[in-house]
This record gives sequence, structure tokens and C-alpha cells, in this order.
Amino acid sequence: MQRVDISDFTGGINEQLAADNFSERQWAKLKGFVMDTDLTMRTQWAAQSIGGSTAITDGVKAIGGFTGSSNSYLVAISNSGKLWWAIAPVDTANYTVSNAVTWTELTTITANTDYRFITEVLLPVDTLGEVNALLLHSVSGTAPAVAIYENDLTSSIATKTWDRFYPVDQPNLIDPLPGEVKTTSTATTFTATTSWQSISTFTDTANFFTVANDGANSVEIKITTGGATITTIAPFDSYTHTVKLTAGQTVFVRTLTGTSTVRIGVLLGSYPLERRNVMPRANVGTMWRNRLILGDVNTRRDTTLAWEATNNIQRSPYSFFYSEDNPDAFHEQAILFAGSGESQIIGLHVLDDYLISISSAAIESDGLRTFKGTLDYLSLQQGSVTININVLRGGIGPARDLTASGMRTASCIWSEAGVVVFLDGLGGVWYTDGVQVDRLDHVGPLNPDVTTATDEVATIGRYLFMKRNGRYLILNMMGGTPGQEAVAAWSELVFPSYTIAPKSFHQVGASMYFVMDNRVYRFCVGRNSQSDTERLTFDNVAVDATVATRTLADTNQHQKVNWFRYGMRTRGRANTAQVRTVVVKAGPALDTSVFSYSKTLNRNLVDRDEFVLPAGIGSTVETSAEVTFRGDLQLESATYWLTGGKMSRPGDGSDA
Amino acid sequence: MVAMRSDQVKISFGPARYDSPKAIRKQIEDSKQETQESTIQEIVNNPTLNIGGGSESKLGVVTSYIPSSRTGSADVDGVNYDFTNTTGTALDIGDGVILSEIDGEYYVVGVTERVGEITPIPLPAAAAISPDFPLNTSSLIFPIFPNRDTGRLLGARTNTGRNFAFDQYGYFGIGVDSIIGQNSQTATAINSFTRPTSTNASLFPQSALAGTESSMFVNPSGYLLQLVTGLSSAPVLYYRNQAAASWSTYSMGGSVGGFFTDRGWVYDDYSGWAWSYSFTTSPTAVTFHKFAPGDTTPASTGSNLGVTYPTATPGVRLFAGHGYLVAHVFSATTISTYIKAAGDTTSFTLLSTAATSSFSTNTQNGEVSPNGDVTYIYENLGTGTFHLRYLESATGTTYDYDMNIAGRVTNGTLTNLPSCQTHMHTSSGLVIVGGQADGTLVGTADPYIFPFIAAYNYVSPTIVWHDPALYYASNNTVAPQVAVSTPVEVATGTIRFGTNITDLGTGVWPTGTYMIELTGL
Repeated sequence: MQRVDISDFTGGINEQLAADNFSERQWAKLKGFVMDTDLTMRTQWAAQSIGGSTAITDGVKAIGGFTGSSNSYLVAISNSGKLWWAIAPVDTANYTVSNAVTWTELTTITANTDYRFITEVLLPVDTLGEVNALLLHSVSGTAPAVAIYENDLTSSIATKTWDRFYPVDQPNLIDPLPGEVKTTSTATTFTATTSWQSISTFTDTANFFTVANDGANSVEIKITTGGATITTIAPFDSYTHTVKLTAGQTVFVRTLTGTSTVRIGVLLGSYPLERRNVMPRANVGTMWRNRLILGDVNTRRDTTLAWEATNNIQRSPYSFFYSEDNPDAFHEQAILFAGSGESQIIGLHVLDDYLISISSAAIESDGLRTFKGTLDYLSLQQGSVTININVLRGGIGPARDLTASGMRTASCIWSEAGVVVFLDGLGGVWYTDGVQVDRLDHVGPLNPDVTTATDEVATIGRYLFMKRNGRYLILNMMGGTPGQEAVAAWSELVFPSYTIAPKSFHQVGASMYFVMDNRVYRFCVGRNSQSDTERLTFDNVAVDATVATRTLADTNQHQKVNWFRYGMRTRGRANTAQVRTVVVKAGPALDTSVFSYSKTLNRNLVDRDEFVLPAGIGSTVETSAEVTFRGDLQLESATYWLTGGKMSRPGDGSDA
Repeated sequence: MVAMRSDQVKISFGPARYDSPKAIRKQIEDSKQETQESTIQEIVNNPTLNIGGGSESKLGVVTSYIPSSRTGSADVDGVNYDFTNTTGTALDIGDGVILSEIDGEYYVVGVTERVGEITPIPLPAAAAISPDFPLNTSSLIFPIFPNRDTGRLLGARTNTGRNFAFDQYGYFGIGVDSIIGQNSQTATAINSFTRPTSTNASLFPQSALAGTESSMFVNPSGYLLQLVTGLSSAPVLYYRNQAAASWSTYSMGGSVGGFFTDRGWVYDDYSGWAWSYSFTTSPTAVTFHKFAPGDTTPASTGSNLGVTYPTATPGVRLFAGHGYLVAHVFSATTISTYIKAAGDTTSFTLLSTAATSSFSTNTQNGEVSPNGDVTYIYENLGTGTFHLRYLESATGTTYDYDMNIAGRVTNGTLTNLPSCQTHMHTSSGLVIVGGQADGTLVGTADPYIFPFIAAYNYVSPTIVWHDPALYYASNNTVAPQVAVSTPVEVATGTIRFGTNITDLGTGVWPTGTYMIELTGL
């Protein structure tokens, strides 16, 4: 009698049929399991719904979050485009606590079905200083951009919105750049009030005059006492009049409400200033070197025409704007390309100190680009700083998706590995460390060779979540040496039956949040004794995990072997773990057509448990075994007992 | 079995290792290693160089001296050496001198003790350059440059000439021993280099303060201060900590105009306090403002701190250093010296009054001595040398010291280059002078201009540092091509400064900005 022990799980799943296509540490199925340590496989984390089933009345389509001063917050985009927020439950909360979370609608924000999460922004706010804000925006539609943040003085949620989207260059009124000569008098600065004031100190009749509104209130201007209002200047905007003053004329200024600091002068300097209080429309973004990077944006077809002129706005999905040191101050020319004219920036990520853009591949130079250096519009114009742009790998990238709706997360940072992970257009999942580019699915789950717009990736700690072709796969990273290589293995998540598939995976704190059936859920990835009691459950309702061995066969592939017993050792953990069913197959686990012998056990596991059953399949060339479990348990090993059987065929290989 | 690929997923740990910070650090370390093994060895240990350093320097006592030929002999431990006097000081028998050997000949390169005079502070035989210096910060990925006018005597106006913040204690939060400065001479960004980790970073944009003629300091609370020049009509203080998203500014308000405009901020390295003042003319009053360690924003003290603001021009001028805050209050004919500790908000004490005829009322390059006295250097056209003017705060007595450093230097073509650019006082009492020297001043035959540092002990100077590898060899008349920033005493007896050699596109000499640290002062 011989026995075969299979106790190494570090190869993860390998969806093959033939015995020779497996190594000794690979498994045919590991569904509902994740690597618990570098050596052990444990049932997946507890899943909890956040809030009641109708907490968000119109259902959720995307979930994001940010860290505030006193709490971590969840932000949800509802199916109708409304924004809701909640305080993220602590990582140790059980499902009853998580179910009781209260969601609050941001009723001051107009619903916009195009909203998507852009990035977290370091946002300066009057009276608060800099806050960490979650920016929502879209490249289409007319809704304002929204930043959601915590007011740390009141520990309450606050928002800032932008209804200006076009970074029109502003006149340089005051300061020429270093090296330029200031050829005329500086501008006059004063405080405008609601009463008309004559700016009698400004008498320049040789140049067109410009008025810059540096305050938070709109300003009206007119010429001479009885003149009509020329224009109303929005906060942080400016206006250049097209007619010069004549002798004796003065400019009059007033605010509509409150006061506002105003400058009046003539244009100076070669370089225009950035426009303030503006948030260009965009679909992706990140923060890099204190600059807000916004990709997949709108540009002007004809810069001599106004943005709003008919047919003058075009979508430039291959471009990104970078801000000045304030995240809502942009130059129109502060724009770079991350691909060819028909590519689309799908992801912008900062890896160490580099900006990495991931674009759909329209031509061979589209795909991954790295940006190294400093983004500073004026310095770049003057040549005093440089930006190095490299095509890291062309010709691969996520599929283009120019539809307005949908939260696309086809790429993400995997911080623990120090890499960027992205999906390609043919079902592959790739990574780059900034130099090397390679696939993560050379081994593991079967590649569907197709990508859909709903596929996504997300990471938390050492786990990579991948939604691909309707499956939910986990790449579990194990040990490695920084600067060298790590090893990782695939397993698969299991979900209860659903109507709307899980999506929008997003890490907040130590949990991975997602949306399923219009509700927000989370996996409690952060290990703690509370949520561990809920492993392999959704709101404490158990689901089944499945483990299937690789295909086993005699080294002589034509020899039948008598597989007469099969057993497994497991370790029941925090909650009542059960072994449910055992199926021993006379062939590969992934082959549904082979003869099998099944046994239903449905018994609780003891702390260190084992079962041994008759294999029941007699003498066969190949075998595999599939077992289902419930609850919190670790797999330790599977064992076959076998004896040499008779030759299935004569030595000449015939069927006689 | 068929041949298997790897049965696990392999992931190369990021981030990128080529051109990554790690690789850059390696390159910088290699570069520094090479520098240490070559340049520094040449400078410090090569006996043919007359910087008085290395094993060939000797301390002797003059036994004979012929003034006309500037030759003589000196006794060193019972052995008599003939020498040529290369210092600007006439020697006398009994003077203590530093002898340095060049090609078998001995030269006096410094005077340590004058017979029959006060015993000065011993001059250092030579300052030792610290390992890993010079550090070329202009060749970093994110370079660090000084302003155009690094020194303090060149140009219409400078404030302190301290273009670099040397954050020895890591107050700013980017690591101990960090050097912070501007990214170019047009100054659009602030860059840093942290020496222990060789981390080079671009921190954030330059403040709205024009890039030229600004000074930077890191205070103990981790704020980077950028000071506007004293003659500005808008003496705004720019400040931020490392985590801030943007610069903050502080304007004091009050009147500006006329001569009442010298309200630039001053900073005391010892206490970490920055000071300035505002004033009104009707009624005439002054209010002091401070930015102290622990403060998150500059603030008015709300007090005149006992200083009566004058009705006459040119008002009040502040100096800070060595723990003192000194206010010169001017009348038409007098300078009243008020003094207080820089590190508190106690009131000033009026110590003395001096005549404006003996001490400049436009002392833009004033420095505070360890005694709380105020000094400046100037070129004396009568002697053709640089002098140190010294106003003793306690007595109001003004002293004038001829530092015997040639006022003008030449590269063989041009003869009118001013030598000294800046000075400061070490805690040991030495006056450190920096500027540009020619071959004669540093004792070589090269027709070059070198940055140099001299130590002066109120008796004689000695050049304690110049680097034969750092020079300027053009006859271009646009000055300055060689500039030295005001040294900062980063530890007792240890100074740091930056020197900049500008290449106008025609030269082949080494150009760039080099950070130097000297010890033993």
C-alpha cells in the first residue's frame, strides 16, 4: 500500500486537467479560501453588509472612502447618482454592528449618474488648513466636481464643489517672472464692497485694463459713475476689457455681496497665470508631487474660441492636466499626453516617486508610461526643470471604454508588492514595478481571453482582488525579499447567489468594501477575533467553500491504480466549522463527466480534525477529490491511499 | 513529467530599481566615494598645497625677518626653517607662524601669535574638510543652487546671504542633516538633499518671494522660513512646514516708505527665533513681531519692547545671532544700541550710543559677534584691504580692524574683482571671511579665481580653505562668477556654506554649487 500526502498549498489553484500539468503544490479548486499565512490556507474572511437593506434607498452602484481626522468614511454613489456617506465601522465590528451603520445623503449635492471617484486630494480649505478630501468628478455631464472631507473642528462631513471646469489662462497682472522686466506700474489692489468705488488711482489709457477678482464674492465693474455694468467677474476670476480708458475715465467696482480683494492693472509678463477655483472634467486622477493629476479630460478644439463655443469641447482621453500647487488651479497648457489620439488613460498611479499612466492600447506606443521629474508649468516652459517620459511597455493596456457611466478600476497600486497591477484587453492581468512588465496569470485560473468593462482589480495588504469574467479571484502574496522577488498563488472567493454581481472593490481601513445587490458590503480582511468568528459567512449566513485536489495518476500514465481511501486533515477555528460533502472522482476535478463517488458528512469539525473515507472509485488511471466545508477552518492536508492495480491495457498499449 | 514553468506567480518587488531613488543613492554614494578618495585627499593631504593642512604644516616662532624681501627664518622644535612670508602681515621676531612646505620651500601661511601684542585666539592651522564634502548639489537630480547673489557685498542689497538651510537635527521632518535650497538660480522650487540617506527630493514650489536674495532657515519647530530682503517695502515672511500644501505668509502691516523700510526679518540660529518690526509714523511707534519655536504662525508681540522709535531717518535696523537680538536705533547723528536675548519677549536694554560717522547706518551685511556686538566688513580703498568695522554694544566704541586681506584680486586679466563677500563669527571668537581669491592670495601661480574661506582673529588672517579643483578661469567681466554664501556654524567649530561657480558658457572649469563643511574652527 502506498499513500500520497498533499499538504502544500503554496501553488494555489491551477485550472488544468491532466495530472502532468500540475505541480505537487497546486490544486484544482480553492474556492472560498485565502492564504492565511505563507503556508496555510484558511476559509475566506467574514463579509458584512454596511447598513440596512434600504439604507440607501435607490441602491448603490459604487463605493469609495477616505480617511478623515477622526474617522474613516465611506462614500457611496447611488444608482441615481446621489452621494451618501457613512462612518466606516471599526474593523473589529461584528455583522450586527456593521448592519446598523447609518448612511446619510449629501442632499446639497445634485445627483449625477456620471460621478466617479477620482482620487484623494490634499485640499486647502479656509479656516481648516489642508484636509484630505475625496474628489468625485466625471469627464462628461454638467454636474459640479465635489470634494468630500471632514471638518476636524466639528468632526462633521463637509463638501466643496466646483462649477468651473475650463482652465482658461489668466492674465499676469502683478509679477513678471524672474528675469523679466516689469515695464509698467504694478497693479492697484483694493477691497471692493457692495458700494461702487472709483479706482481713481488707475489711470492707464495706453493699455487694456484687466481686473482680477481675488476674493470669494462676485464683482461687478463699470466705467464712469453713470456707466452700465460691463461684466460680472466670478470669484477668483478676471476680466480684460477690450477698450482702453480715455482721459478722465475711471473704473468703478463693487461686489454683489460681502467684500472681495480686487486688483486692477495691465497685463505684464510673458507667461499667463493659472486659473483658480477650477476643476477640469476628468475620469481618473491622482496626486503626484503636490500636484493634482487629472486624466481623460476635455480640451478645446480651437483655443481662439471660447470653451463653450459650439462644438469646441472635445474629449481628450489620452491627456492629463496637472495643477499648480493648489489642487484647483490649472493652466490650460499644463497638459501632457499619455498615449496616442485614440487611447484612453484608464489609470494614473504614483509608484514611489514616479507617475505611471496606464492607457488603452490604440497603437504600439500606447500602454504604460512613466513620468519622472517635476511638473511645474512655468519651470517646464523655462527649461529649468525637466520631465522624463518613457514608454514602459507599449501595445498592452486595458480595453478602452468611453461610455460615460461606470466606475472603472482596471488598474491599481499594490503597495505591499510595490507594483502597479492592471488588466489588459484580452483578459490578462499584468503588473509593473516601474521597469519590468509581466503577467500575473501565467499560472492559475484559466484565462478567459476576453475583458469586459466590469472587470476590475483592487488590493489590500498582500491580497490582490481581481474580478474577471464574472469570477472573483484572489492573488495571495507570500514571502519574498524586497528588491528581489515574491511568490504568490491564486485562490477564489465565493459569494452567495446575487442579482447584481459584486463590484467596486475598494479598501478603507483594514477592510475591502464592495457593492453587491445594490448594497455595500465588506470583507473583514484585518484579522481579529471578532470577525474571524464570521469567516466564510455573509452577515453570518454560511456559504460553502470548496477544495479540490489536483489530478493524480501513476507515473505510468496508462496504469490503473486502486485508489481505495481518501482523507483530509483540517483545523476547525473560531466558529463551528463543518465538513459537508466529499466527492472522489475517477478523473480531473474540473471534468464534470467522469464517474465519481460522493459522501455527505455534514458534521462539525473538532479542533484538529480528520476524516478518512473509502474512495469508492475502484481502479482508475486518474483521480481527484473535492470537499466542501463551512465555517472557519484551515486546511492541513489531503491523503490518498492506493495500491498497485492491474494493468488497464496490455503492454503494447492496445485496448485488448 | 513534462517540463514545467514556474508553478507559482513570481512578482518582482517594486518600485523600479533602475533610476530609482535606491539607484540614485548608489550613484551619489559612488560619486562621493570617488570625491573622497581623490579630491579631498588632494586638498587636505597633498603637501604641495599651501592650505596649511596635512602633516607638512608646522607651527614655528620667527627668529629672523627681512621686511623688504618678506623672507626670514623660524624655529620649529629646535630646527630652523627659512621661509617666505605669504601673509599680508609684516612679521616680527617672536611671532608665532604657520609654516607650510611647497616643493621643499617653506612659506608662512598664517600668524598665530603676535609678539608684543594682545594674544589673539589661535588661528587654526587649517580647517579640515569633512568627509563627503565637497558635495556638488547642482548635479543632483533635484539640484540645489544659491541665489544669484550668494555673498553679501556684491549687488545692491542682500540680507543675510544664507541661501541654504542646513537642517542638522531633522527639524523639518525629512531627516537629519538635510540641505534645503532652491532648485535653480531662477528659483521655482525648493529641493533638498538628506546626507545620511542620500535622499534627494523636490519638496514644493518656491514661495512667491522672488528667488533672488532670499535666505532660508529651518526653525526647531520644523518650519522653513524664507526671509524677504530688508529693504523691501513689503517685508513678508514666508513659512511652511513640511506637511503644508502651500506657503504661508505673514505681513506685519504698518507704514512703509522713505528710509523707514529696513524691516527685513532676522533669524537667530541659537534660539531659533525670527524677528522683525512694524511701525507707524503718526504717532511714531514701533511694534515687534516674532516667530518663535512652538509658534505655528508669526505674531505681533504687541509691544515696542522698550524701543523708542525715532523720528529721524533711517529708523531701526535689527541684527540677530549668538542668542542676541540687537536693534540699532538711528537719529540723524547717533546710533543707539538696544540689545536683548533673541529667545524671549523681554524688553530691550539700551546699552550705548555711537556716532553715525563711525559706523554705517546702512549695515546690510551686519553680523552679531558672540559678545552681542555688531560688525560689518568693507573694502578700505586707502589700504587696499578689507577691514572689519566693530561696534561694541556695551560701550558704543567703534573699532576698525585691517584684516590684511587684499581688497581686489585678479585672474591675470581682470584686476578689480572684490575679494571678500561675506563674514560671520564662530562661537570660538574667530571671524570667518568668505569670498573669491586669486592665486596670489591662496599661494598658487594659477591665473584662476578660487572661492576661499579665511579665519581672522583680530590680528591676522589665514586662509583655511580653498580647493584647487574649484576655480573660475575666465576673464569675463560679469561678476560675480565665484560666490560664497555666509557660513553657518552647524556645530561648535564646524561651519557649512555653499560656493557657486557660474559658467557663462565659455569656460571649461568646474561649475556648479558645492557644499563645504569645515571643522576645527
